[in-house]
Amino acid sequence: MTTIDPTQVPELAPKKKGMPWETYEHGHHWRTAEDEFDAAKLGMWLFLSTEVLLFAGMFVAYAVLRMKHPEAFINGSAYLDVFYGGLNTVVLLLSSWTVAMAVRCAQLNHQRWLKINLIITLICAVAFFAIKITFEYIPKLSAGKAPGRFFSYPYAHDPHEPLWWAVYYVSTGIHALHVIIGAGLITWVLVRSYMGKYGPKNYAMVETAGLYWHLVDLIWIFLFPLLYLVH
Amino acid sequence: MTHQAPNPGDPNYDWSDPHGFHHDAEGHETHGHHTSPWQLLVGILGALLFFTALTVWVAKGEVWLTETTDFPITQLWNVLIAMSIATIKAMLVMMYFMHLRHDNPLNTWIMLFTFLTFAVFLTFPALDIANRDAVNPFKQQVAVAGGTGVAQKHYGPEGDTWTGISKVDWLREKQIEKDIEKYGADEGEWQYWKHFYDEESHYHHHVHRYVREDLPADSILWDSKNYFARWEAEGGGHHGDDHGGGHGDDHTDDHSDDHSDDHAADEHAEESHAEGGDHGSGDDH
Repeated sequence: MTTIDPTQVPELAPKKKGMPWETYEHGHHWRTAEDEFDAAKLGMWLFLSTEVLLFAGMFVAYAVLRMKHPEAFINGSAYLDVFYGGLNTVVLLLSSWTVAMAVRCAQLNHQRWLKINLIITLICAVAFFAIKITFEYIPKLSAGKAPGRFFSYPYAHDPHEPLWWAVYYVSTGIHALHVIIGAGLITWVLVRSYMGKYGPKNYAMVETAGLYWHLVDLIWIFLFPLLYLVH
Repeated sequence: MTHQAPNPGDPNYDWSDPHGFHHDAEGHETHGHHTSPWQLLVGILGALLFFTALTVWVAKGEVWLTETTDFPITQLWNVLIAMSIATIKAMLVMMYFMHLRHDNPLNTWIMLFTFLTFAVFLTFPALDIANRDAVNPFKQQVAVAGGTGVAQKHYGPEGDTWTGISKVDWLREKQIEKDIEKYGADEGEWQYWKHFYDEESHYHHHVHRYVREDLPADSILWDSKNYFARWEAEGGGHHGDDHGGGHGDDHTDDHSDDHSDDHAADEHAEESHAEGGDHGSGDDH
């Protein structure tokens, strides 16, 4: 007759006391917390690969239309202000860094700095969106530099400039949508970090939300030179 | 970081800790999950900011080089240099901020496969567009100019062809009509182009930057003031020959084959600009 050692069976182990992250039990269908964590991350990476392919469609559209109408794209890029594009790049890079620091703080149980880093990330997200709307979208749209058939700017030069604006608004717009979704995820992680959910034994959600935020940064790293700098 | 096999027989084994099974016999944590040193993360942020500044600086340098020397940087190189720097930045973010360097290699392979797929997406349309004009010799006998005409269907201000011009040209005509209403028949079109070159041309960086010999006469890469002078010389506005006088004579000289001489072109542009100003003020009498 075999005896069961209760310390080796998670279901039979005595209930632990402590912060929520300390008493966190991984799903019973996983052998170990390690397996659960790795699977969560693998799932996030698979999702990120589909996100990359979503933006790949826009990058291909950019490449094809640029090859067909180079002058419209050269001129289109000149309508954009490198200063605000660069500022938004710096804002996103900074927020990416604070997210990486937040993951580190969760791993090391620095609860206070975990929250501070997440709050800075949120502020950066809001700043990015505000700069985008107030200094880029509103002045351009009110001047008639709108995509496709909504185009009404009378001082354009190349007949295909409405096409450039379509590429610009779709790619930056869907990127901005990702900024909003990412900010929502970070907010959720922040709220749960106030509930004490994250610490060295359980930080998968910080890590995966962070991965999503890094992807937002990653896409912008390519959008910025393509839209603002390539002339 | 390679993953050790979990050892539930180990008394220090903690089922609920992703780090758990990396405790050694003495109970010291060996950190199965990599924790990035903060110095490294700060260094990566610094590198990313540096590369951002570099790519902006290089782009401005390319403009400067094309403007001031006889060594124009082509679009291909613009794209290649900017994308190389962006790729370095993306690799730094993925390796260190996203922890791929110390992660399960499977995640890296997923990303590499995704980028390979992206490369396929990019390559085939590029091959198509680059070879659109190529005609196989055996088809040359039967090849005809022009396409299927499908694209023409959507070529017009409201998605139709009734005006037969592009939306940009249509909007320009509308604005000129407005200006004619405002300034009168003689003045309207001239005022449009004055506004175009004086107020809006800073958007058309490439209109007023490059003065190059190899460009076609209607390219937007022309010097804007020069372009304005040319437009006037060709009879635009009411500075045309029908008005006679000094203006027409000044502008219809050897301007069309004078592009290589930047200095002369600039002088000419200044001159025509000054005249434009004079014209505006002298309009009242």
